[in-house]
Amino acid sequence: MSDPIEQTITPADVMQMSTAQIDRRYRALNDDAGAAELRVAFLGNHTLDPLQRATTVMIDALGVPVRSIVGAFDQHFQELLDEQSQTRQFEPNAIVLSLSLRYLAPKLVYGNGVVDPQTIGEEIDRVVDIVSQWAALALANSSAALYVCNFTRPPAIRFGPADTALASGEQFIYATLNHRLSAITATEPRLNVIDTHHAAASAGIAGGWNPRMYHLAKIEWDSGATLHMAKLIGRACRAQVRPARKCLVLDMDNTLWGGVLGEEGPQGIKIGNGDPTGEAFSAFQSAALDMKARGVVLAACSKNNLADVEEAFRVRDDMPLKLDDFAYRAINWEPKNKNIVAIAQALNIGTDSLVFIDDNPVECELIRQTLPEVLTLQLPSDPSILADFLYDLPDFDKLRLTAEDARKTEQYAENFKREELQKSVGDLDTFLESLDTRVEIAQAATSDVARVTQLFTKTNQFNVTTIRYSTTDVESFIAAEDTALYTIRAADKFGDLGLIGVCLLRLKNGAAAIDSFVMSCRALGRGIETAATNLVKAQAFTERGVTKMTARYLPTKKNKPAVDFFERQGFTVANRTEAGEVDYVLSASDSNKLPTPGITVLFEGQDHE
Amino acid sequence: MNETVVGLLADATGIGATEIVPTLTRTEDDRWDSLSHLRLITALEESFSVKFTMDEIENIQTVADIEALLAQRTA
Repeated sequence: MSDPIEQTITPADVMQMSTAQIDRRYRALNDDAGAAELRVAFLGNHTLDPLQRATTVMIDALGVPVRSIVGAFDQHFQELLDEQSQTRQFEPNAIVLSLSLRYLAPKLVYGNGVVDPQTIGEEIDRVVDIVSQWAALALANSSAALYVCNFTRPPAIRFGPADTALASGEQFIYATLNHRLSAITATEPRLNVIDTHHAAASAGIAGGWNPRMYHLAKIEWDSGATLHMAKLIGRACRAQVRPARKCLVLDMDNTLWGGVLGEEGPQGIKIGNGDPTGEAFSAFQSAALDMKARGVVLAACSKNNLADVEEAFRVRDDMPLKLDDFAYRAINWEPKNKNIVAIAQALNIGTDSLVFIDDNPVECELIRQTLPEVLTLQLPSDPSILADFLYDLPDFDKLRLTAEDARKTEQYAENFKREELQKSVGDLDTFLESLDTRVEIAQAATSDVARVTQLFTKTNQFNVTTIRYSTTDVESFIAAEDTALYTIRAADKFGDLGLIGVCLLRLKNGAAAIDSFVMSCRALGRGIETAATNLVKAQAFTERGVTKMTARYLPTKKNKPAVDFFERQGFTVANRTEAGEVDYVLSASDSNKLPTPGITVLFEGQDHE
Repeated sequence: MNETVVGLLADATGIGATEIVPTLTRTEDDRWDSLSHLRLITALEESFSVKFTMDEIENIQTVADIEALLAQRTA
């Protein structure tokens, strides 16, 4: 390892690294002058250098260029208040706060014989208040995402076996504290809790308390626990800047069950209770359902006879997965690279949003070679570790799950039904009429921040300018007078599509500029974008007294679907560059309401005609 | 000098391996500060599978001290 920076390492490699290897790698990363996508500041009241180094190495191994600093000891408030502080000067986009209770609330750790529940309760209140105050200050003085570490329980138990029966015991203290810490994140999309308590447990709970190093230098954790904490923080920070992959494509034989269906028949495959291999595959299927709940769309890609697979799912109803859980099923004898492209096209997503899992090394190699942008993973041969293999993947990580996430697969399935209806109806207008679409437009509210940010950061295709706004940006658009942020929701007779679009207006000197117009691809092609634009135009020209609207289209590799959107909405081209950037203009007198067959529009809950 | 010790000291402190001599003293080089000292201790403990007491950690001043302590432990 003469020049370690040249070497690519994986998160699993980092977990095996010694302190000396972490130091060497950290130094090489720090010497590299390249631009950092993540700038992480570590603040707190114990020595955070070991955590900072390990986390920096971990984030790099997760594929995100990173720089980091440690703020002054026990100055987590001053670092945010003082404009000249190291932290403020560093302009972090992520701040990690780790507080040691030994320093902050020694009564909770050392006790000094205190057992009365009232004193303990007051101390817990005080700690939660301090964290809340710090979070409020950090939200006001920095645009960074915040990661607050929760509290690790000491390995030695002060009152021995009596602890769990005490109303003020350590089990109670840590469970209550950590629960209340998580509760304060519910209302604040930029505030996240890092479960360091769990990280310490992963390393062995003794790793969460390193008395020698603490008494010598206020280093609270040992190197093993530090690595587990670095992994949790690293995954959270990665999820902040990298969108999660959208679809999990699963093989079936020896991936979803043990054995080959075509040879062993539905009763012969190993799945479900009563057989150790079958139980392990059941756990893997359950994990796939958890991914589905996270908003990952499931697709099947298997070389089998479709009738056999349908029979297997019918006969083996003890399988956690049902055939309907797959939004798309490519069950045929075509080459898998062809099927995977078909899956991406059917779901209207890029192949770079796919994760493909197969037990067969030949299939995996085919996809790696023909579709390198797909994340291809060969299933480990021991079925007992399959479920954890899926849970450990950072590629599906998100910081928050929204209501839309839980319904993703259903929404895609509803889309297929709509397409089938379209085929049977034939004429587009008749089809649109039959959908009975209701579009609801409203000014964005604080409760929309997570979903709106998700649309800004994840939408590639129908996105006119592809400006990636953060949570902080979205919050400021909602609060500011000179911006108007509209949310677009839709529902039809097949189901609720949820919050599927956003339009951001910037208002200045009697003109309104469409800064962003973003719509989820599953809502396209049915006039919703036109209905929304009609309303935005009416709002600007009639309600806000604007005389002129402008708009821009900035081309990217992926936003072709939005290319002539503004022309279709009646805007005039004002300027077009060689690179394909187009400026548009529309004056109040030229603005017409365009027809939207079959769509009912509501604005702020009121009918709008 | 023990090459492993020299390597670990270089990693923990950033002092070049060629600058490290048996009499190099902790208090004389800014790069061997209290934090890098504890990184060195952790690295030594991991590498040699030993555990030092708090007093021993504080008393280590030179490369020679480390080697003496290791010799005593592994004897």
